[in-house]
Amino acid sequence: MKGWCLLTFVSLFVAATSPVARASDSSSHVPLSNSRSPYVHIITLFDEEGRAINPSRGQTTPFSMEATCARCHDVSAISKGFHFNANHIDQEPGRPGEPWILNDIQTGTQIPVSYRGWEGTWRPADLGMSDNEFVRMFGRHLPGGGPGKPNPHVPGSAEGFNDVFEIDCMVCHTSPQGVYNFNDRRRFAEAGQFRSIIISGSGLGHAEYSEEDPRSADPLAMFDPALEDEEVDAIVKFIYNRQKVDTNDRVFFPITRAVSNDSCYQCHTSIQHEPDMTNHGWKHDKDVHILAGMQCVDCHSHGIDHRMVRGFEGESSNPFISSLSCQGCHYGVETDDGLQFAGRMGAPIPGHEGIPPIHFEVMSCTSCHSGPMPDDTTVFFQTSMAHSLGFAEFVRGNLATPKINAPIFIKGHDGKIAPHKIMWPAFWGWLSEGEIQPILPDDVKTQTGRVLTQRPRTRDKFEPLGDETILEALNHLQRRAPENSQAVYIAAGTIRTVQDDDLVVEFTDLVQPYVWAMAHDVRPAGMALGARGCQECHTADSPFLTGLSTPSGPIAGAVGATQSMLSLMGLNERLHHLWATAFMGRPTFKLFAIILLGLFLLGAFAVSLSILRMVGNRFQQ
Amino acid sequence: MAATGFLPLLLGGHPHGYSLLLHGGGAAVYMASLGLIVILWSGRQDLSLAMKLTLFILLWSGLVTAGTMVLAMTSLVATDGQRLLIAIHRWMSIPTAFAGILFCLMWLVQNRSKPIQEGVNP
Repeated sequence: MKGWCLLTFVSLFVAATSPVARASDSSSHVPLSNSRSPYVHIITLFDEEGRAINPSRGQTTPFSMEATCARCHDVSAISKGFHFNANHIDQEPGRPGEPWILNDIQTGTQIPVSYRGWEGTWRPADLGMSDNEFVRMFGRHLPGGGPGKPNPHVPGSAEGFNDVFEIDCMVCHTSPQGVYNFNDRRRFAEAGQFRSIIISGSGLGHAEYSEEDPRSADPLAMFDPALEDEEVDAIVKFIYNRQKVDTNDRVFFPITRAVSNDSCYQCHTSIQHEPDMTNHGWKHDKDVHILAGMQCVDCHSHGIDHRMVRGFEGESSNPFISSLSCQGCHYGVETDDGLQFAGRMGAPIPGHEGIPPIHFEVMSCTSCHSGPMPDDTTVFFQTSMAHSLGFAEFVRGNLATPKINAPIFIKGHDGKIAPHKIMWPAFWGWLSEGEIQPILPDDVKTQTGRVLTQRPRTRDKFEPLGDETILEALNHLQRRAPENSQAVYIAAGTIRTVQDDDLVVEFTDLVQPYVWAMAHDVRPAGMALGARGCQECHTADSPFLTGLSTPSGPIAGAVGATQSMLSLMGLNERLHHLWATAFMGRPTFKLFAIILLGLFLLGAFAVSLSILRMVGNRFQQ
Repeated sequence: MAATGFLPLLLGGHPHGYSLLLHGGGAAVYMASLGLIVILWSGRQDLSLAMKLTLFILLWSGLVTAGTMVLAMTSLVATDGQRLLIAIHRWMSIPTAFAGILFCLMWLVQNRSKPIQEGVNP
């Protein structure tokens, strides 16, 4: 016991007298290095209770990432940051972004899920998912915290948890020289072994789990009725890699303050899917900002509170934050002291010569500069969060769900036209009184016997659901339907029901597609829409306005109505055609106007001379 | 021209859609007509001094109104320059419109008074 106390004291002393601590700003309660050079994190590990751990002496106490980092960083503030606050009750939802997608290949399910309550998404609780189920399903990409840490004030939030999923700082802040193992992360998340994520992610060793009945520690407790329903807790031991621990029981964390692009891409890769993905990288440039040497975090920045700047117009009234949007950086922000921040980070100030300013009032910058060039139809997109990009197991065919299409041009949150991604929810559900309650995939499988479970489970063997299978599954479900409920299958803007033993397919607006704005990859000016002239958009058959968006989903049969971009933007098709016709003669019109203006000018001089002469004569008289 | 140009602004928006199409389409006709009227009428000896001065204002404000828009349509100026030119276009169209209305009124008054003078006092 004395030894432990001594060690703890020594560790605390080391931490307190470390260079970071000595560099402490007297005005702050946390130490700061105040250098642009990253501080070398050779530090002592601490457990949840804030006690120092001595791995070199065989101690197997799990270290707490939050407690260890909290020695120098305000983890409490960090835990309210954008990546951790989705399930915080007091959190504003903000502009809709990419949702988590509950995807199940066998049942043809793709449901957008979000704790933020974005319109068109379901909250996990609305689907009957516990926090634990959510974290296990999506923990592969969750940075920890948020729903991973049960809230003692919310009844039932601890359900299913026998391990806590702390904020894992290293998932983002591992420097390019370090390694973060996402494959292990997904495996541990699915198993609910969240502490394993922390130790294996930071490369410090591995966790061992054993189960221990709390009553076995005290034989008398076996007869204690209060402990009768006590769940069996997991006992976790951390087996530290001794080679990673120095003689002072400190470990090295390869940390970078400015998160590298690769760390961001691990969760935020978004690529246009093509049949031949092996040549994808060669044929597609990266975002122009990345090519210019910038990092994601240069714009998507934040302070210690980790309230990430998302970078869209109107995000904040704070000029500094506003300056991290396209317009703010390239044009500047109007403040009480005039225009500020224009050209931040070397941003060129665009001329946009010859483009009528009306374009900038009704369209976002991304309309012309982001995503793939518009084509006659939308293309399939795959993202890390939706398609588990970055993991080697899956072969992701062109048909693989969830189906995400882009770009579609619609009015965004600020009323400006902007490119968006779109997905049509697909799920089995109960229709009752005009509302549909989705059924979770596992429940569907249970209730439909082998109809769906005999279907392929993985993306590489994906098969779209045929109407025969859907009919059979709906018949199974209907036999177990709650009172006054009808079993339905929703997909690609359609609803499938059974009426008189036949499958009926109808268009439906009971479930709307979920859309979210896309801003990347940004194309340079020379590759922007309109760089080759007005006719890129102002023609009768321009893909920007007449491109088609067809609902898609994990089905082989009929899908919802195809819409043109004009219709999605809410524009008048006849007017567009008239306008496009007018543009056919626009160059001639300009020439005519210039010639006319020249003649007008000559005539004006002649007339002016005559009038002035007349006025002069009058005055002389 | 004034209706299609000013009405959307007065309603809190900006010219777009059919009104802009009409405005743009009518602009060429308007410019040609105005130029022709000014050039032909400036030589008329029956116009009063006031009418000639109004015609002078109409001529030059109309020229600036049209010229700024034609210039804004070219690739010679960037966004800020275009915004400035469009602002000039809008502001100059006000004296142009007033001068046009004033000239029309004076012309009407002059033409109404002529037959009376000729009929009553031969």
